[in-house]
Amino acid sequence: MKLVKLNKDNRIKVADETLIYIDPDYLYIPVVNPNFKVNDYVFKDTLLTDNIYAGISGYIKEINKNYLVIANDFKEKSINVKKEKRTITIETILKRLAMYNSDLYNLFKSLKNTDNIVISGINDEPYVYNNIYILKDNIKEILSFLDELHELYQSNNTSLIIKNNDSKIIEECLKELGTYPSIKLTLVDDLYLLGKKEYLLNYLHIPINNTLYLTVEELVTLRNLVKYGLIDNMQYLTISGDALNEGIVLKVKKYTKLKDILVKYGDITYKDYVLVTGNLLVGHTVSPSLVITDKIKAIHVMKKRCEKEDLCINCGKCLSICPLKINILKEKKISNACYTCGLCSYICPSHINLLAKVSDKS
Amino acid sequence: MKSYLHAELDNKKNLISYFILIGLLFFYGIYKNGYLVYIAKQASLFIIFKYLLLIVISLLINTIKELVLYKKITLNYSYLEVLLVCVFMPPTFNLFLYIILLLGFIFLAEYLAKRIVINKVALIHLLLVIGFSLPQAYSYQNLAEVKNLYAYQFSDFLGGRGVSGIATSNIILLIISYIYLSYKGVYKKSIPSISYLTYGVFISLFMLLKQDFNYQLLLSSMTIASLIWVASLPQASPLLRKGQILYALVVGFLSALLNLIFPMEGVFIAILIGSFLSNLIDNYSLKC
Repeated sequence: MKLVKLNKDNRIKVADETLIYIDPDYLYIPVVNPNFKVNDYVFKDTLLTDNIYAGISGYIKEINKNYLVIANDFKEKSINVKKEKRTITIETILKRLAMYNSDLYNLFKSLKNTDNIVISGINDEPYVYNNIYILKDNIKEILSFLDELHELYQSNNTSLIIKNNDSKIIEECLKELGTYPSIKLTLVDDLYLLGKKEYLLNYLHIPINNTLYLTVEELVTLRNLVKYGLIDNMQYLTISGDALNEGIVLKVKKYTKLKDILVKYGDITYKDYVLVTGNLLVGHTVSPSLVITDKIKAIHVMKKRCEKEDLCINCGKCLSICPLKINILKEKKISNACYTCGLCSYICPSHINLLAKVSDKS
Repeated sequence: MKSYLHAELDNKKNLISYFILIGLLFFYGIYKNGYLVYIAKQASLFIIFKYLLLIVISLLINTIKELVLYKKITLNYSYLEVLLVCVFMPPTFNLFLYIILLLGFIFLAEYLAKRIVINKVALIHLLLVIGFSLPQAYSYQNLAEVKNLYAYQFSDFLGGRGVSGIATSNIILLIISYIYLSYKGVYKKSIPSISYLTYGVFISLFMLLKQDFNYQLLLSSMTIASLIWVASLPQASPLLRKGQILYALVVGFLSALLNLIFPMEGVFIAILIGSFLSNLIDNYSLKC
């Protein structure tokens, strides 16, 4: 399949530095039937439910059917052990992951040694910059930890993948890479990879089998967990869009309410806007009361447009661009195989919301 | 779920550039079939307004159709189609007959297009020329050409002085329009090039077999214009590139064959047959 370069608006920019928002007044933890009561004191890093840890310390203010609300006392009293550097082995990695991160554990559990380690510093979704800023903020630590993984898993090829238009981070990497000859910097074109590692690996001619593929974000989570025993209660969040004066990349406490972030950082210049989460090609509108979880990587503040759908002209663009060659307009039922990558809606010259047809027919 | 990011392709912008190109073709057509005929004292100045009236009336009829069938007016491909019908009209058409026939055929074509894949421009054109031929024989020569007032050279022929539809005689303008259209994302550029190549090969072959080589048939501006503008219309041509190539080969071959019998209309019959086959071709190319 021929990969596509997306038509991006060059006016949408983000500030150079990562901003940090560590002191929200409240956290809204999505816990159902918690073992806590209102006015209980919660320490930072307390396990609240499966894989959810308190990111702040404070009293429980409210428990409703959706959230457990913790009022921040700004003391950051933690039950966690002090930050100390640990030597890593395959066993310690598995032990820590089994305890704290089931997703990564599933990835590592059967891994003894690997031919390739591929670390993706790419954010495939347009106007999302988290991975680049994580790299920028942690480049030395990331490369050092990657070098350790390279040794540990006896990899033949360890690559850090960056898009070739991210010039600033390329410079930073080149400065540091001399110390780590085993790590290769691979630059790729700015193409839409459908958010799938298979397309990236295929593009790089790296076999999927026996390849450890991680994003920079996952690598940092892994490093913090296995090397320092730290639970990630912060996450990177891009806030960008054409209704903002300037976008930002924010390091924010998990389970902060979007409204609190927008009040503090949202430099919205356009009145009639819509908040969209995730990939703009398959965007969902959200309300300011959204709670930021680790599934949410970006919020786009977009100008509201009343785009009228024209009649289909049978140009065939949707069919030619579809990686699975699904004829959305003619097929009565669409198989579940559809990636919902959004390319059909993106390319349609009649601006037909083909994604809605996908949901209707699948 | 919705896409908040769009490619640069936009139907309305495309249509506007198509209209500008058709405007250029008409400009030359009115000069050749109107002004030059007037200068040659073969017609009054009204002939220029007759062509302008043709465009306005065609657009009006299409607007009436839109209002009757869809109860709203939007800028869509039906306006391009009706303009293309005007482009290919014989220069000495009967305006009154044209209005009556178009009013009927435009609804008929719309009715058929809802049921089968059909090239509406080719269909309406063929029906119109059949309609024109009923009361009296029609011709693509303008009033001055009928009287053999001009002595054409090959360069004049290329420059637009050949016998053709109202606005299709200028091959150079047609080539320029093709190059421009090729840069438009939704234009199926492989269809005109492949179909004309196929047409060229087969028509040369057939003429050589008949031992009667006529370069005017090979460089027929009517054929070139219809392959560039009508055969490639997205609504009635295959979706995928593979299918488009197959469709172009079929249209090219049939045009060569049919142009031997109907030098001006053969290509329209070929396009019409091609459009009937486009669904079949699509299914085949999807399986490949």
